[in-house]
Amino acid sequence: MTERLRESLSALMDDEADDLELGRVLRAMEAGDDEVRETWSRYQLASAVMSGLPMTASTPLAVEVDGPESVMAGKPAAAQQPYRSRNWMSFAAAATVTLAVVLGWQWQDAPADAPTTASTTASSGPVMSDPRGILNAAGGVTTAAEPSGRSAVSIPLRQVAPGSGERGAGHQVDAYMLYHAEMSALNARSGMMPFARYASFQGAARSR
Amino acid sequence: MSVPPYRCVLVDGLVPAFRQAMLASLLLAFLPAQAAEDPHRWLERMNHALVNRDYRGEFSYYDGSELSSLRIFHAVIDGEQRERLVHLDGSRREIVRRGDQVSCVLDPDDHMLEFTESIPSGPFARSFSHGLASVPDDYAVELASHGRIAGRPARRIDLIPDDDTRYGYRLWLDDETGMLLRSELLESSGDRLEIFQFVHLELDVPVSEAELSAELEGGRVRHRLAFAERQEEDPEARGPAWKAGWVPDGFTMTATDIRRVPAHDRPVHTLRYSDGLASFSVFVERSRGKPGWQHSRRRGATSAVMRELEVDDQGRFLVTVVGEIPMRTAEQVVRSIEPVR
Repeated sequence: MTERLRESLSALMDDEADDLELGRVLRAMEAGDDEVRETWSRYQLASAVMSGLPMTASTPLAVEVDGPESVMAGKPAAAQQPYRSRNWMSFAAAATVTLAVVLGWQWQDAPADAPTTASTTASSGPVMSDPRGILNAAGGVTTAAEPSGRSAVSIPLRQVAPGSGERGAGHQVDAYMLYHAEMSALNARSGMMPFARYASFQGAARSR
Repeated sequence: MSVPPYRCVLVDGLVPAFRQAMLASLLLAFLPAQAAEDPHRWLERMNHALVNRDYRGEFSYYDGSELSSLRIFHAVIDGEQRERLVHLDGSRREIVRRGDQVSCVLDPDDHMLEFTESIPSGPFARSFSHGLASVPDDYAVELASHGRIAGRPARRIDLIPDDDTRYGYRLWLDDETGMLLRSELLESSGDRLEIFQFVHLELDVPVSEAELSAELEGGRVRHRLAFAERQEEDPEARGPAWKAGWVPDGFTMTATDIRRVPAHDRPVHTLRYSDGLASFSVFVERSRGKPGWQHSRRRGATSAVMRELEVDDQGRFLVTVVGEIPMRTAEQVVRSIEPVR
């Protein structure tokens, strides 16, 4: 599998593939490319991993370890994957660990009285991330291509897989909430705030 | 604390020389009390205690739905801020600060790790606004009642916002040291969105190196955050720089940055605004691949809003505002995000 195809597959996985990339993947699958299929199912597994499912012992992770007292699946610190790799498994526990996690951010929708939300983050078990409905149950390619040659991707995301778009948005918002807390924590420079999401006194911090 | 009314009675009934001495000592006692009536002075003492004193303690944090317990250690060693927070419930999470370096230590099976691929990474830009007063203009600061927190006499101080575009605060400060003992964040209705309170606190005690170091056994994952040496800008990042067309009175931009999200290698413009007390962040990225994404979420003190934005000749962008501000404010801000022409 070429690097370009691998990148297209990865882009498809996180809903960022354009028509060109999608076409590339579809053609490869139609041509019976087993490696593409295998990679696709590996990516699906990684997606399930990041949905919070337990990982099996056969999926070693590369993590940044600190010192000889840390042992992780027997992998030395040098096994850390570079960020630019599209290997989802190593990202699942990559060194980019977020801050302000002390309180345990959980999946919680906005309260009922919150205005205008499209967040229905219902997730009952592993969700195969195939928002465009391209792969049928057997993992093969659907033949729902329109006569013009454009495939099912022309269907808006929300209609094809209700919930997955919103789930992605919710996930991203959660990530940004953590990132905001990280920046606050670092810039506050002192005290337990805003680590514990505490009333943060940036002006007070600045006066020191 | 006002001068006790009995002073006149005491003084009048005494021998003149003794009366002189009594007056002098009473005046001396009176002066600090007067200073103690100044809420700004209280806040200064609070800042000082938080930064300069050595302490260890345990506190509770309530975000409107969840209650957590945390342990904290703080010391200044060789002029350097050292701090460690330990999450006592559920996942073993720790945060360790050493000067300008902050580390977070998690267990490898911590579900927080699932967010890591979606967050920009790299060194952080320092906030560049240094001119704000210790007491922000858009809040009234008032001394209120006396109380007792964690077994210590305390004084309550209220920070009341001028309008409902931001939240208010109630602080309880230790009488003796000014140390922050309890804090509430309030919305305009008076509802408490967040409560922080020390349950146990030892001030001015020796804190050991071991207490200030993270526990690292068991393959735990460690991530370091630090400030960038200089502002880094990605020359490949295309698109306009951004700003908020509307912010509540008193908010100014305190930081701006362009970051990359490691999993996707996409640039995210980040902005930061603060009024000296509250702050919010703005994230702007191309919405390619995520049409129609929108989301709102409030968690305790923090509101977050994500919306899609169409910019005439530039295409579609995904804008997210996150901060300790009311949801309505966040929504107004997100709708006002615009490119800097």
